[in-house]
Amino acid sequence: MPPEPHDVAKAPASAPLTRKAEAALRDGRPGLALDLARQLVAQKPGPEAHALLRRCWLAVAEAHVARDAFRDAHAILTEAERLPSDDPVWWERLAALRADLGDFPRALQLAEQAADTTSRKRVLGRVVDRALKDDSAGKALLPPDLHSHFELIRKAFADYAAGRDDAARETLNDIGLSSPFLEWKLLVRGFIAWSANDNPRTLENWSRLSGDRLPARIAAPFRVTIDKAYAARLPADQAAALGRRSDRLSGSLGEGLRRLRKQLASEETIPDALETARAIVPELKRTAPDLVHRLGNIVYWALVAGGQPEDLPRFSRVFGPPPDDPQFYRLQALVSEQLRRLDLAHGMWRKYEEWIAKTPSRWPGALSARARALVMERMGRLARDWLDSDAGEGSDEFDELMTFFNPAGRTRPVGRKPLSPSAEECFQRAGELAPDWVVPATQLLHVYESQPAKALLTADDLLRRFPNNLDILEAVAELFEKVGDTAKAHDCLKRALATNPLDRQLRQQAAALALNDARRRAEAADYDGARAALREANDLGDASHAPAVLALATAIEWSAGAVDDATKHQATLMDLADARVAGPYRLIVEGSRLKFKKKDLTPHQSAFTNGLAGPATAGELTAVLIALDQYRREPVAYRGLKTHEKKIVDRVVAATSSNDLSEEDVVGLGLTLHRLAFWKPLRALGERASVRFADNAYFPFFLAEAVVARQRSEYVTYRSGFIYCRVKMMMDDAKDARYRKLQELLDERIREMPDVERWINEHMRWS
Amino acid sequence: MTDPYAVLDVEPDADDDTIRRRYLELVKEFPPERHPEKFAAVRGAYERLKDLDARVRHRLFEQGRRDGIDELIEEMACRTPRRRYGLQALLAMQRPTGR
Repeated sequence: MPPEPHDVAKAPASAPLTRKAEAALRDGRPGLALDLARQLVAQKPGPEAHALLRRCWLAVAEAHVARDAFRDAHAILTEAERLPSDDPVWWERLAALRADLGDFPRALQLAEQAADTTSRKRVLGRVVDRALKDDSAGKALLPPDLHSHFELIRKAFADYAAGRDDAARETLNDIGLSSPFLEWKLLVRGFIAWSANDNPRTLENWSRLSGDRLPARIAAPFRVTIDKAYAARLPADQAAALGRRSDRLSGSLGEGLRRLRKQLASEETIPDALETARAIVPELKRTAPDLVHRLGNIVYWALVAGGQPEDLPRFSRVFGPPPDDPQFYRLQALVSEQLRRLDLAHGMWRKYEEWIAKTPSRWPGALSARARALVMERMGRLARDWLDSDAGEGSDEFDELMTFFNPAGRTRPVGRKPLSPSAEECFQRAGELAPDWVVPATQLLHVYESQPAKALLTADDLLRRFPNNLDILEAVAELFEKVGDTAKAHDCLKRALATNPLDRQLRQQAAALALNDARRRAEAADYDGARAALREANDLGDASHAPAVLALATAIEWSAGAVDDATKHQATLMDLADARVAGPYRLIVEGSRLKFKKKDLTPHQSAFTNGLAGPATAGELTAVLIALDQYRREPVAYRGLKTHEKKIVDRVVAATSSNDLSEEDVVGLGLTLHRLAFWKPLRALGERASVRFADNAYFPFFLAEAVVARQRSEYVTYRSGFIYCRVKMMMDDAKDARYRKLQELLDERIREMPDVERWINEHMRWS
Repeated sequence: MTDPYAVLDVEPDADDDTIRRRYLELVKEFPPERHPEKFAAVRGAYERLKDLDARVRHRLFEQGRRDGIDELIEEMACRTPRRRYGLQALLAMQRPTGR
């Protein structure tokens, strides 16, 4: 029965004392805890108060023992032993503390009171620890029957230290499983394996040590360096203290490398890192010369991530000029890209390309041409993005954040001049240097998007040079479709399908082309031709194409005057799952393209508007997003696309905050937006849903993805990097099957942008 | 180990055939069902070196980029002879500092 309210109000007066004593124990102030516990026992004696008092006595005694303050510990234990108790654990712990003080007879007496057969063994173990701690004098603390094992352990250690491992092993053979020296035997055997660099055998021995015994404490600073799981289980302060001790044990080189790791993790301490590197590289050259180059690479990439110009000569003084980038052109180009200074990056890559051309000793034969082609292709993309970013997306808070770190890039020049060499020249040059490489050729097609004559000439040339290349055939088909040459587009896709008949993406593309063809034929009143094209679209496409085919079939039959067929198709369309909003939307688009009369469009218009205005399921919103995506990807946009896009996207974002949709629904919508590359609404969804479902790692991921996608850079900003790290930590903490998809997406992002992994590692290290 | 040449154990100037032969040998030695991690490493390394384009790309934009200093520290620790401590030295490390 739950207590009445007035019962709850009458809290016992001793409660604050209990809480304060517990807090003092937690805070490492056992003396204060003991005073409070004594007051508690005086005020309200009872089993709980006495239990607390005993814990406090033990804590005070342990603190004295830890400080080697044996006299104080003795006094405390003498008082503590007067307390009445039936608790065997209490007596065993007192016995263990007596053993730590070297009071062997008293320790065994107390162990007898524990009335537990294993207690004596454990207490004996502590006695043995204490004896070995006292060197040769410790032998006198032990009963005579343990003297021989005491000497064996000391001899085994002496043999081991002198490098006589076999002798040490043989000495240890006489110590059996029941000996109180067993833990010491494991410790020595672990050390023998340790010195032979046999980590598995070392851990085999050391993982059997009891954490409360001296051998485990002796092994700890060595064990943390080879046993990551053990290190991860330790409390943070203990792990840090052990880390510092193992740094000292690993010698100056190991300690220096560890210091370097810490310094490289922060931009601010990179100059210190170079100083550390300067100190350790001479020794590294002597001990492991092949690692110097690898260390140089690590520092080089750390400079790319966060170095300053003055770090470059320092780097050269320590490691010498990097063999593949002696003038640091590549490094400066990469840094400029990271800061979105595309013009500077372009200029630096140009110098780098010239250096490759002039250095055949480093880039012999075919290497040179291919390397220059790759650099040229990169320059081409920079030159294209330079103009695009001028035309493009407005500044957002992430741009602002970026310019905060890079004041030089704060102003966004308006009306930029094209970079020289231009994107066109770069891709052409890359193609000349590597004629078998299709990428610059397809890039060139994109450059000519607004120059159909040049594009068509290039397309013919590409088809001649790469007649069966899938990428070329797809790109050229897209071009022919854009310029209205459906037959040629169709021919290209057919050729591509002939080599890859099961390629799903290709079949979808061919189905989309057939749909467009059907629509064009219907516009020209060629209804039979339209129906044939529609059948082809139906055959090529999968189930996901059904709504598009049915909507167009409805419109075509309506235009052709076949009202019954149109009604039948419309009914089938509206019977599809989640078609309540997407169905009318598709009918509006197809109807307006085939010039339906206003009165024929009105019912679909009302159904669409009402569908968006009222409650909609996640499935319905997903279906309408898919329809919108299809229409926005078509070569010729229909009139009204922007208005529809705004309405649909606003509705989807609004749904994120509504209680109609569950957390799972919102995740599903986010995944759809992500898959279809609707970055702006994805960002809004990520922001809103992160507030509503703060524990869900999907939403910060969506936010970071939206930001990264719009940046079009292979580097992530500090904030995005931080968000990715948070996502990773949330996933790691949850260890949840629902994050499987998220893990896949994050892995994909890391594959595409290795910089994300760097950020995650750095943030993890700092946090 | 992130250096693909080291993973496949081939020389930096190895050609397509040599790299492919070595890759097939390693795949036979470390099939995915028995050594999934090693197989993934071998596969990843091969992807980065399989043809001239991949190799030059790796050298220009990726070489050393994923190397971590942790691996270097571990490798260094494995190569350096581990110092042997006597019992007294080990016990001295246990004493509280600053006394």
